[in-house]
Parts: sequence; C-alpha cells; structure tokens
Amino acid sequence: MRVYLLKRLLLIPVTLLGITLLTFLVMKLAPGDPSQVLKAQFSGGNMQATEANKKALEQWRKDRHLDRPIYVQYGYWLRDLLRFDLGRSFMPPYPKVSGIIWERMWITVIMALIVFTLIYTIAIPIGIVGAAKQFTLWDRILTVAPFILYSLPSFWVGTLMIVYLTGKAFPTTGYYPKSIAEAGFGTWLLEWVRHLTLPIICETYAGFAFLSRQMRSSLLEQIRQDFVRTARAKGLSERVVILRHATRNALIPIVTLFGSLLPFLLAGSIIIEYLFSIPGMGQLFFQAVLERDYPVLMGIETVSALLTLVGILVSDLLYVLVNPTISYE
Amino acid sequence: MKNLTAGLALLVLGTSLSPAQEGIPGAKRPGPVASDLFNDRPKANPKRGGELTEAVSVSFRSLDPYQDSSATTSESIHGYVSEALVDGHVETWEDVPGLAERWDIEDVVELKDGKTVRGKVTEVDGKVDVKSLKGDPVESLKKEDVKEVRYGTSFTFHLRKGVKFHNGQPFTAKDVEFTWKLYRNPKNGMPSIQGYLDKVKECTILDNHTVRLTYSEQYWMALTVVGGYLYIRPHKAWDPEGLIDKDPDAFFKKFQEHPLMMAPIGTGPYQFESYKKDFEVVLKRNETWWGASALKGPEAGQWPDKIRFRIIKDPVAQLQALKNGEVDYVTSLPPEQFDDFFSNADTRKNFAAVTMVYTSYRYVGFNLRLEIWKDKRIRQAIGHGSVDQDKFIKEVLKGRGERVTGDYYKYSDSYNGNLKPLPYDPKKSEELLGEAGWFDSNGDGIIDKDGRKFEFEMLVRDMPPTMPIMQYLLRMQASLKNLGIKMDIRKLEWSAFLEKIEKGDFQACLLGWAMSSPPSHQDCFQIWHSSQIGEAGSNHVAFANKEVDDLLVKIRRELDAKKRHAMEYRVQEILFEEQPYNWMYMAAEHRAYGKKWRGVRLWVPRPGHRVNEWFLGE
Amino acid sequence: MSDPPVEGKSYGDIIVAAFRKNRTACLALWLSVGMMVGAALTPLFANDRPFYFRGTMPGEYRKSFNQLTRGAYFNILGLPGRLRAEVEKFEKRSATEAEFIKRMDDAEARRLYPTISRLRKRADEMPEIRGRWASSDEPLEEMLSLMTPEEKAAFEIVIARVVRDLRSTYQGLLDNALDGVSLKLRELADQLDSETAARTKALEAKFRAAAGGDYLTTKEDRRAALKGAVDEARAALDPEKVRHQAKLRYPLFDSLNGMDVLFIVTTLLALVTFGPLTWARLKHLRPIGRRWFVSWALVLAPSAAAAVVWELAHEVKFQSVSYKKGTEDGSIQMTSSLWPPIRYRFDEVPEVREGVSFPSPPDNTHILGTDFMGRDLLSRMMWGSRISLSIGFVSAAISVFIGIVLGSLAGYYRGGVDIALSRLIEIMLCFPSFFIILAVVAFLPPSIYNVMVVLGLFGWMGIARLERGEFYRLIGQDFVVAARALGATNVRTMFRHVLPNGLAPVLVSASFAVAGAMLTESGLSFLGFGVQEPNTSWGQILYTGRSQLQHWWTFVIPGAAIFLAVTCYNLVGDGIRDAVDPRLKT
Repeated sequence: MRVYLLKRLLLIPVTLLGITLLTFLVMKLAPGDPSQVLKAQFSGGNMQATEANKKALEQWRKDRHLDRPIYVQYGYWLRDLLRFDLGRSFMPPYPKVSGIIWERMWITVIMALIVFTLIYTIAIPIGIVGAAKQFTLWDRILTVAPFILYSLPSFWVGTLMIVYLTGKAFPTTGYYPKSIAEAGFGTWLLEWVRHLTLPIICETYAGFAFLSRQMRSSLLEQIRQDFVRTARAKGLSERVVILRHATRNALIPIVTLFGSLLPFLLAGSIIIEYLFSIPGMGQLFFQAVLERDYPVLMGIETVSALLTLVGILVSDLLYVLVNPTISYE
Repeated sequence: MKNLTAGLALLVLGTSLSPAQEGIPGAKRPGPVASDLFNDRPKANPKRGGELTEAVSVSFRSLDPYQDSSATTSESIHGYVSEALVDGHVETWEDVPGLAERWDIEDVVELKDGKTVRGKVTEVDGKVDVKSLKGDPVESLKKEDVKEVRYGTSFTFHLRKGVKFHNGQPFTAKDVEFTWKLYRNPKNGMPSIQGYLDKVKECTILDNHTVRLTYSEQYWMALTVVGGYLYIRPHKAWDPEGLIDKDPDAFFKKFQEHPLMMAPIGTGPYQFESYKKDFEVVLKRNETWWGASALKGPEAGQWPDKIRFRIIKDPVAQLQALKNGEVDYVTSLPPEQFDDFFSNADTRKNFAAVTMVYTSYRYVGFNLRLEIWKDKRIRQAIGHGSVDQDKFIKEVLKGRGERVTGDYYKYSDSYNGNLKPLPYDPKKSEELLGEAGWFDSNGDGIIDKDGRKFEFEMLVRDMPPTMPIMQYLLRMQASLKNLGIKMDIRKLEWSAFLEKIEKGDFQACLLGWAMSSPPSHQDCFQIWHSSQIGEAGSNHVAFANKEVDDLLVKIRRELDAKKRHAMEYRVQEILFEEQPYNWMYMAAEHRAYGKKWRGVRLWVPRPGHRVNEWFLGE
Repeated sequence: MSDPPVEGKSYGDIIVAAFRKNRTACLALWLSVGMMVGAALTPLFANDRPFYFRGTMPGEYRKSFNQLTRGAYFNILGLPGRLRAEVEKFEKRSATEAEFIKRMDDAEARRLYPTISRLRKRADEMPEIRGRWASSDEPLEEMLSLMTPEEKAAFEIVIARVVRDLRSTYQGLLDNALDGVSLKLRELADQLDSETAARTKALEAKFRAAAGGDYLTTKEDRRAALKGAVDEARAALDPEKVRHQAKLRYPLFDSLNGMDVLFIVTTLLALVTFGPLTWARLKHLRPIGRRWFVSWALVLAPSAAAAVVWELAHEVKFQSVSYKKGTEDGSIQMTSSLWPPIRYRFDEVPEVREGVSFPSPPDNTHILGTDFMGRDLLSRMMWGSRISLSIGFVSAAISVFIGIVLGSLAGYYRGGVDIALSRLIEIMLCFPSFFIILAVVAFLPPSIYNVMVVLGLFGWMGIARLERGEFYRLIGQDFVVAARALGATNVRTMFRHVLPNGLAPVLVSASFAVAGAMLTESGLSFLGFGVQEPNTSWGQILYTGRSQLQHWWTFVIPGAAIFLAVTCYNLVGDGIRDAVDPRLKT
C-alpha cells in the first residue's frame, strides 16, 4: 500500500504539470490580447496616450515576459509556481494573485466541505432505503425525486429562491464577515447560517441526487451477492444484514466518487456565487473573465486543479482504508 | 398595468412638489436646490448621529482617486475625504473657495526672447502695459517684442490657515506643490490626471500659505483645472524623505503600492476608517474639519457619524438590501428594477423614489473614415429612420429621458436650443437614400451602390439585452431592415471595445458622453477638433471641418461668456447639419433612499449629492 | 454485422423491450422525440408570414418605383461626373501620393518604391514641403517634378493604367446600375398585367439608349435623355394610376434556407417512415437486422438531396418586408392566404405603442406572453429549442466521437498508449472544465459553433473511460481472436468487430451527454456568454428574463422547459442503461 501511495503522490505533480500546460496553452491561444486590458488603462480612457504611456506599457509587457515565445513564458510561469508565486493581476494596483486567491478561496472551500458532508449524509441513507425497499412505492419515489432534482438547472432554482425566499430570514448578499469578537458567537453563527443556507441548498441538491442513485445501485449489486444470502441463512435480521454487511462493501465505489465531485462543485460555485453575491473563488473567476485578467484565471485554474488532485488522493486513500482486501499493483 | 400606475404615481409626485417641467423631473438648471424634494415626511431639525450606508456596484481596486479611475472611487469616497483648492458650488455651478480662501488672477506675457512677465495686462496702441494687482505699473512692452499674451492664466492661491489633514499634519503650500509634482510625473501610473495637468506648467511656493500655479495657454476653464482637479495630499505622509525631488525613480517605484493608496488621507469632512475587501469602505467624521466653522449653510453639515460604502454588485440585490435596511441609499438603478421596487405602496411609504437628470447623453457614431458614411445624407437618413425616439422615450423609458441635439448640457447657456431633434420619418430616409444613389439593384433585399451592399456592424459595449440601449439597438436593427439596410450588432467587453473605438477600428458605434461637472464647464475641443483624431484624443469618428476647428480654438481662448456662447451655438449648428453623430437622448437617473433621512438635496453636477448634509429625522 | 452479445438479440431489440416495460422512460422518449420534431418543424409553426397568399403588394410596388425613379436615376446621373472628377485628378496630376498609392498593385508598388523613398528623403531636407510629404499629402505633380526622366516614365505608365482601370470600373458600375434599372422594371412589371410588362421592355430600352455606349466619356449632355426615360417611367408606372394584378406568392417558403429544408424534410419523412414501422415493431418483436440502416438511408438521402437542390436553386432574400405590417397599413392586400398557427417570429420586434408595456403577461394573442422587447414568448421558445437542442446534439456527437476513438485506442493497444491516454483522461477530468469553457467562450467571438465545439471538446472523458473498459472486457473473447486470425488489420478489428459489441456505454452516455450539454449551454447563456441576440436559446431567454423577475413568465417558462428537456434525456439514458447493462456506472 505504501508503494501505491507513493506512486500516487508522485503522479500528482505530473498530472498537475499536464493540467497547467493545458490551461496555459488554452489561455495563450484563446483570442483576446491581454495587453488590450492594459492599453485601456494606460491610455486612461479618453486622455492622452502620450509617449510616456506607450513606454510604460512596453516596460510592463517586458516585465511580464509577454514579448517572449510561448514556451519561454510557460517556463517562467512554472518557475514562479514552484515558488508559490502565481504572478500579479493585470488590474491596478497589481496585487499578487496568490494573495487574492488565498483571501477568496476559503469561503468556497468551506462551502464545498459543508456541501460534501451534507451530500454524503443525505445521499447514503436515501440510497440504502431505496435499495432495501426495492420495487416498493418508496423506491419509486426515492428514485424519481433525485432524478428530478438532478435535472433542475441550479441557476434557475437559485434565482427563484432569491425572488421568493429571501427577505428578513435569508438575506441576499454575500456572507457576513463579522468577527466573533464583535458580535458574539451566537450571532456570528446565526449570520453564517442565514447567509449560506440558500446557496448551500442550491449546491447540494444535484449532488446528493446523483450520489443517492449510485449508492442504491451499488448496494443492490451487493445484495445480490452470495455472502448476503449466507448471512440471511445464518438467521441475521434483514436490517443487520444490509446495514452491517452489505453497506460496507457498497460504500467502496461511492468513496471513489469523492474525487470527481469536487470539480463539479467548483464549477457550480461560479454560478452560485454570482447569484448570491458571495465573494468566493468562483465569483473571482467570473470577474477575471470579464476583465481578461489572465494571471488570475491561470492561478484559479491551477489551484482548483490542485484541490481536485488532493480530493482524488483523499478518495483513493479512503478507498484503501475502507477496503483492506484490495492491493495495488 | 402595475407599471403604468407606478409611472403615474411618479409623475404626480414630481408635479405636486415642483413646478411642472418637461421630461425629467428635479433640478435641472443652476439655481437654488430644494431639500427633500422626493420626501413627503414633515421637516425635521438637523442633528448628529446615525450611519449612512450607500450601495456601490463596483468593487474598489484601490482607494486612490486617480489610480482607480472608476467614477465610484473618485466621486463617492473622495468627495468626502479629499479636497481641492477650488470647489464647485452646487447651486450656482461657479468656482468657489475650497482649500484656497481666495485667489488672484493675473495675465502672463511671453516675450520673443523667452522671458515672461506677469501682471494685469492692457493692450493700448502697439504697446502692452503690465500692471500689478494693486494697479502699480510693472512694465510697458512694445508689441513687436511680445510673442503671446495669455489672459487669466496665472493663479495665486491664498490658502486657508489652520487646516489639518486627517493625520494631524498641517496643510501648507508644500502639500500643493507635492501634489502637483506627483500628478504631473509620467511615472505615476495615473494617465488620466497627467493629461489634464500637463498644461499646468508652473507651481511656485510664495510662502507657507500662498502658492502660484500657471496654466500654459489661455483657457476659460483654466481655474477649474488648476484649482479643482488637484486633490491635495499630505506630502509628509506620502514622501517624508523628499524622494520625489532627490530620487524620483525610487519614489515612484514604491508609489504604486504605497499603503496610503488603500488608506487615503485628506482634509475633507470625513476621514478614512477601514476597508473590508469586497465588502465595504467606512469613513468616519473628521472632528477637526475646517468647513464646520468656515462654511455656511447645508454644505457645512457633518451629521452622520459614519458613512459606509457597501459593495453590492447586482441592482436586484441592492434593492433587497435597501429594503432590509442594510443600506440607506442606492443610485444608478435600472428603470425596470426601479419601477418594480416602487410598485408596492409600502415601499413608497418608506422609501423616496428619485428620478433626476443624469448629465450624460447617448449617441450613434459613424466612422467618417469609411466611404459608406461620407455622404451626410446617409447619416441624416439613418437619423430619421432608426427609431421613433419620442415614442421610445415615452414608452420604453417611461418618459424619463430627453432628446438632445448637441454635446453641451441641455440646460446650460451653451446649448443651442434652436436646433430641433430629427423627427422619425422613414419615408424621408427612403428619399435621402434614394437621392444618394442607394437602391436594391440585384434583388437580394439589401440596398446597394457601386457594388457595395449597405451592411454595417454596430459596435456596442457588452451589456444585458434588457437594458434600454440594447432595446434601442434591436429596434433600430428592425427599422433599418425595413429600409433594406443590414445592421449587425457586435458586443464587446469594455476594454476591447474602448480599444477598437480609440483605434478607429469600427463602422458605427453606440456610446455616450458624460458631461463634465459642473455641466456648465464643458469643453468640446477634444471631441470635435481635427487634431484630436487618433488615439491621442476623443474625436473617434474622425470629424474634420475647418470652420469648426477655428471656432473651437477661439472658444477655448474666449474669456467673455456671451461671445463664447455665440460661437458654441454656431458649432452645434454645423455639427447638427453634418450629423457625425445621431444624437439620441439623455436618460434620467434613478435612485432610492430611506425616507428617515432628511435634508436631502439632489442636484445636477455629479455626483449629485453630498450625504454629509443628510440627517436622521424623528 | 457481428454476433450480438446477449441471447441472440441486438441492441435495438433489447432497448425496445426494456422501454416497453419502463413506462417513465417510454414517456420520456416520446417527449424527447416530440421536442426534436417540434424544433425541426418550427419555421412552419411559428412564423410571421403566410405560407402563401394571393394578392397584390402596392407598398412594395411604390418602394420599387421610388428606387427606380430616384435611386437608379441619381446613380446613373452622377456617374460621369464622378468618373470625370477622379480621372481628372490623375490626368492633371493633382491626386495626392496617398490616393495614388491606394490604387497601385503590389508589383507596381515594388517597382516604384525606390523612387518614392528617394524623393521622401529629399523632401526631408526641404522644410517647405516636408510637412505635406510626411502625411503623403503632396500632389503627384510635385513628385513628378523632382524625378528623373526614367522614373517619370515608369510613373506615367502606372498613372495611365490607373486611369484605364478607373474607366473600366466605372463602366462596370454603370452596367450594374443599368442592370438594377432592368431589375426594378421587371419587379414593377411583375405586379401588373402583361400589357404593362411589354411597355416596361420599351422603357428598359430607352434607359439603355440614354445611358449606353459612350455615356461615360461623351461630351454630349445625355441628362435630358435620361430624364425623359425617367419621366416616361413615372407616367407609365405611376403607383397612383396603375392597376395591380393579384398573384400567388409563397413568403414563408421563400424564407427557408437549405438547413431548414433539410431538417423539415428529414423529420417529415422520418415520421412517415418510422411511424407505421414503429407501431408494427411494437406489436411483434422481430430481429431488426439491417432495417434500421436502410430506413435511415431512405430518410436522409432524399432530404439531403432536397436540401442541396434548394440551397443551390433558391436564394434567401434579406427579409425587408413585414407581411403583417403590410396587411395592417394596406401596402399588401391579400385576397386569400394561409398563415401558420403562431403568427410570430422570434426576431419580430413590435413597434412601440402607447400604453403597452413589455413584457406582457400571457393572454389571447400571446399564449405565453411576451418578453422585454414585446416578442412572443412561445415563438421564441420554439425557435430557441432549435438552437438548444442542436447545441446539445452536436456537442454530444463531438464528445461521443472523440470518446469512442480515444477509448478504443486505449483499450485496444493498451501498454504505453493506454498509460498516456489514461493520463490525458485523468488530466481532463481533473480540470474544472466549466472554468475553461467559460473563459474560452467569453474570449471567442460569440457564435453557437464555438459553443458546440468547446462543449464537445470537454465532454468526452466519461465515454472514453467507459469505452476503454469495454475494450478491456472484450479483447480476450473468442471472436476477436478469430477476427485477427482471419487477417483483419488492427483498425478493422477495432472498429468493425469489437466496437459494435462495446457500444453499450456509448448509447447510455450519448443521451446523458445531450442533457449535460444542454444544461451547460443554458448555464453559459445565463451568465451572458453563449448565444447572442437576436438568436435565441432557452438559456438566453432565461438570461433576459432574469432582470424581469416580477414578470414570472419570462423566467419560469424557459427554466421549466430546460428542466423538462434535461429530465427527459436523462430518463431516456437511464432507460437505455437499465436495458443494456444495469451494472454500468459512469
């Protein structure tokens, strides 16, 4: 197992390299010149684009290696990446990208963790019940309902929520960064709950729908196995059979889905954060797209990819933990 | 039906509280501004207290007025934090003392040998007499020796004494000089202010509270530029070691990331307290503000304890926040949001619905470099045939707009009111197009001439299609279709859009110009003079007319208002005939605030309000 | 075809059997098919012009008349003057360097460039002309006066060429204008009786006589002759005096282009062919064998042929006539007509009227209400479905194609190829692809093709993985060995033998891919990227509806439609998966 773990850890940088190269190429080759952004700044709207401004623009480009060929630029970028330097934003006052992302990622990550927990906590029992009571009315409902939820567009649901459900109970804007010291723990917690309930509901429902179906089919597969028949023959109650024995095995493939849910959540965060004015990484990305702020875009892609890789690693680890019989070649 | 009622209610409110006016309600001309025009609650007495929160929709990249060139920072925050030598009076629109108590204006004579003489100049039979302010003769020059006389270009400001910056440092002439050096230096990364101050060539400290600034050409707006654009900064806080003189490169290297960029220090009625990134900026009252004692009237008010600027990007969310009490004042609302918000009787009871003039107008610009636009009949044809603007303003904008025919503010003395806007007349368009030789010669439905089809691309800034401007364009597209003209709409995001416009890389564009503030101080040189074609200026459509060129130069130099206005009228006449733009309309601005705030005066010069005058009633 | 894998039945049979049992999936399938049919036939259902009408078009007549008497007249009238002015500029050598350079071709430019640069250098030393030369504003005369005789000769040759070209260009313009006159006369005659048609021939001859031959170069003033022709036309064809003749016209069909025809014909033929066949098949389960293939060929071939013929023979005009407005204001008079059931088009912008505010709620004239511009929402939804569904299908097709190819390669060759491709799949899966999709779509010029391609490029990973799994499973089996033994090449084995048996994941994923692509596209449009005005997709309608939430229909209806469509396709995919292999999970 240790060998496997080591191999996986070593593969992460390789995959990360591949991802960053791909992102870099897409960004550079996509149309739209980053210097457009700067030209607009340096010509100051409708004022004089004096010689001095032109020189400043040239210097700026040189400092960011924008005049060198693509592979050279990638090299510089990679070198900086190893120093955890993701470059500087194109927008004045040109703050460090790593700084901006660091500030913003927490709310997104925390929300993602909460969502994960909720998804797993809700989906697994639903899946189990659905499998256990297969072919009954419950099963039908628990199959069709998640399906419907899964097909609801999150931005539609989100907007409808904002129109009909917000008000004094659930506010519309962002999360409330009042410190504990200022307002007392109770209020602080309440504020968090008030602000984040609706967006979290939006992010959760599609995920748990998907997962509960997986759980159900996985458990069904286990129930058909011999050992379940054996357990039943041994006289154990249905509940023990299912919950104690079948579920354990059924959880195995579910755990591996952990890794692939993360990119899905990060992607969804763009829309949710935009709708609910949450200052997280998704909103930052959207803003950066509107402003053509390439360094920020690259930075967020890299960070998300890294998070996803970490997620996959964690799920692989969990897989090993849950299933001691597996050995990796 | 709901919307119609709301519209009626607004009209009624507007007309009952102010004399009946055409178009957009509220104060439009210079003159006394009534307070609480949009508030029907009983009058109250001003008292200190409360925190006023204003919603802003753009997040601040920097809190410096010139580093972050968005209007939000400079107009919202710096209206309260920073001050300049000269202020604009919100009722008379004249220049009034700010940080300068008074000033002396002198003329400058430049001799052919390069020397300059300063004083009050009178030209008498081939001689140029220079006298001092008191009247003592200074020099008498021969006309042959004189290269140029520039009237009204030397300003000696006598600064107020006892003014302190928010960090306690005293305000002196050295701060003015520092600010001047700072803003003029090309390395400061602030191209906008650099361009303006480029012509303020001299700054001399005469004593601790007297400083003289000189403008390098005769210009009727020189005082406004020199006195009004310099937001004075404390030199000791920004540059304690005097690096700007000793080692400017080192200074400017650090300048762009100076911590004071995010924590500005000024002399204004409110000082910077805190900034929570992407959340809000908080200002608190400056207890030692000079204006509290030196100024009279509402301008001296510092009633709210704190002023907050809360960043909420989405107008729907802004209105929700207003309703929940999270913010007190919301500006720049899209009309449909505004109508929806005020369609509820409860809302109308607690919030004031403000509709007022917004001093900017929209236009369709034709790139005159292209063959297709060279014949003015074509431009007139499009003007007559695009959209029934009167109906559009009435139905889509709900009457909250007014057509304009020129670039000066409609209610200023410079506006030529004799020019009537082009009526919607598709038949006339057909005639004009026919006379210019355009007709469908190959049966494909699109009119053509000389083998070229009448197809063009309208460039517009990216915005949601529900915005009135996009609706205008979609209607224009449909109307032109009936004339056999194919118009494609191309949306570009702001910086790419600007670049194309400035490069002249477009066929037609839809843009707007915002008037200067106050609107009586408007200079159209940049827009129409032929030297301003190209990236250096704002003459994006490449308009070049000899008579207009001459007039614009003369207008700049003309210090007599009456003569100047006559020339401005003539310029507008020529432009309207030529139609390099199809002038559209100026739209109203919609705002809302909680009625518990009183003493609210709203006026035309931007930003249109000073919330330090507002106080809580009952 | 090779042996089917399960109990002698083919995929088609299994799926059909499963769907018969699974009522929800069956319903979803009918709804999906219904949506596709609706989308394809939309131009026939929702359009602002009649299928046909018999009547007259006096408004168009007047327009053509004005264009003839004004446009054509002024055009032809002005040509000699313009030609003379331009030619004079060159003949008198008063044209500027800039104008001259504009008319040179590359070869001439290369030949004359040394001269020009030498002259410029000289000009630099002469302050009185330097300014003019710097902006290429100096007249040719001046340039020529500073040249050597050889250089002058070279220039003269080019100047002569330019003048010749000018003359021929203008002759071409004159011919065009005269053709235009003929066209207009024909258009006018078309609406009148045959007697007038004959008269217009005479008029045409008159125009050509007045403006023919040496019209451009003659000193003789032909203006009077031209004016005579115009006056005669005015008299003969005066809109007030003529009597129009009712004709049969087909505006709706005129507005269709090749693609529309392709989809319409395909759908109609498919309904005809498969309708009875489907019913028959459901009653008796027979092995399908080759029938699917043949049926589709029977449907697609003629429709493709029809589409191509239509495209070549018929030119879609720029629709500058509004038929509805025409009937209202009398410029079109219809004695009999047939209109589509929904008389609105997606891009039909109604005039601003007093007291009517948009969006307006559902009522008798607009079943689903209108949007913020006053356009009928039902019509927009129907036209929008075309784009939403086509984006869904095309991107799914691209994803499926890439997925099959890469998955097969990975699963067949294994070893190094597999490792590399698996890494690639992993990398692409790790990608938060919505980020990249958003960025790319935002940066590219707005176009639905860009959206389709980008969505397709980022959706193939799941299919590739599954396909790879299938190949791993199938490679060991006997039939593969047999095929190789018989001498089949790698490619042939892969695609002809193994793949048809490993299509299960493809069938499943294809449906999900369509649903997913539709959802992503509506997400992109909702954020403001993707489909742009006046084109429409459901996501785009949602986007515009977002700022009009008090008018619920603009937002709730498109969202519900997207939801319904996505659910249906997901259910279909689910049904297929249950049928083909319940163990298959993405």
